[in-house]
Amino acid sequence: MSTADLASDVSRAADALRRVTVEIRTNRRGLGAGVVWREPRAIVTNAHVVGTHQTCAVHFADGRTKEGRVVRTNENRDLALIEVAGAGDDVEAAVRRDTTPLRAGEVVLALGHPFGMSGALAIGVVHASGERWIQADLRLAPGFSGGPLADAAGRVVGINAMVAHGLGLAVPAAAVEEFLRA
Amino acid sequence: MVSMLQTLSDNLATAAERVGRRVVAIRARRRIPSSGILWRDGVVVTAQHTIQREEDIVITLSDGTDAPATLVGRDPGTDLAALRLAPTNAPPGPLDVAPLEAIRAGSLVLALGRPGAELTAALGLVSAVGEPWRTWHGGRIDRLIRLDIGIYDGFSGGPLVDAEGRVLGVNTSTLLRGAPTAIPAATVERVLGQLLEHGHVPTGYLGVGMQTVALSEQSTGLMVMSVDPAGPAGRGGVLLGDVITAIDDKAVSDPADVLAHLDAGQVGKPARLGLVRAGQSTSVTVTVGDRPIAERRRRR
Repeated sequence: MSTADLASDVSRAADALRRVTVEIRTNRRGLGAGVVWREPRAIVTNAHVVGTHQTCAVHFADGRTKEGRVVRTNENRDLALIEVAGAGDDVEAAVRRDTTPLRAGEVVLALGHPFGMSGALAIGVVHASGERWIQADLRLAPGFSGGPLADAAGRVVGINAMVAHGLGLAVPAAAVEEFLRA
Repeated sequence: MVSMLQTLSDNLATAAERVGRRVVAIRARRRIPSSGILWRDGVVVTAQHTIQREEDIVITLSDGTDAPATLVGRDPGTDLAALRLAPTNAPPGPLDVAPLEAIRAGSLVLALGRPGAELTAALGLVSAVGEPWRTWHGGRIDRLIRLDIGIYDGFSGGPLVDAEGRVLGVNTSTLLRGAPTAIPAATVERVLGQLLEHGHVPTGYLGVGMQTVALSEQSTGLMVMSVDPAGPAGRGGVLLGDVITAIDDKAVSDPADVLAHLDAGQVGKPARLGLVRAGQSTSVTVTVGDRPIAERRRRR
């Protein structure tokens, strides 16, 4: 094995994540990210990405743009559920990891659209993992909000929500599941 | 198929977990606890500057249990401190330490901490490895290890760990200006030995204040501007206005040259000072002392 293998592993994982990550635009606010969570039409993002808007534009990785309807938000958990009408069944949903606990030091990847740049990747490690937040040692910027945080196998472990004291904070996948059930 | 990225991730997390069992939280300051390493059974090493109170120190072990600890000693020169707690029922076994030669620029490293109950990790690189150096507090460090890594709560006092789970040193954010650094394990071993034996790191002391002066166009010396009459130089007959030109036949032209000569090993040994007194060359022999506590405090 060589570092070239490592680099191709990273780009493969990034490609897989890009396919399940969408861009979300509301008419006034800037750009956020979202994750195709369970079925082609259920997209999860941050509540602060959609704000008080009832609708938004969802831009899929395959180039299509659809109108999304904000079904539910939870300001406290900074989560929002968006449904897209007729997105088609060919849209891939994210592979998730919501049971195996994250270990400090595990490699994590984040995908987002910082400053309008589509599908940018950030890489780092788990700093600490709690029930409320996953703290990740990686460099996020505005535009990563609502996008996926994934493990080294490309499985989504959380939704990136904010930066605090230089650490990326993500809502754990288990908390997203709870939000969707509620 | 397990990718190389997954293997790397597993190795890093396993290294963090293995060393993390020895990473403790130290409650010796207000607000957020600092990190320390169970270096030997019953002995915790940390960054000296994080110990803000010397009494009522409580250490939280990796299994969540709290234990009272006492300060063995601290060395502001290297920013290291040692604490003692009751030996555990399950001694941690020998620490897996990387040799100095294994510390290379470009190495992937983890900085571990425990600023509370949870173990934390940050990933970065060794950005440069330099020669042995002396800190601005006068401590001697076996290698300059400059790090490119994020500094979060609990960074100082925690271990720097390589991808194989070997400890490279103790992290601190205060020794180098502008970059975090790690104190190599070899330095930690040496300082720890002195702290356990003496409660401090003995430092050679003459008891004079000096200033560089020109003796001629070619040579400079150190004029004695103050003398502690009870200090080693005062008792040995050094006078105000003497110009020190050499120690043990080694020319000195800067106070740092004198400091470099006064290492722990010199305490109690004779030192021959070459002097210019009233225009005449002469010499006196003094016995190097150990820097008094008050002096050490001032230099903290």
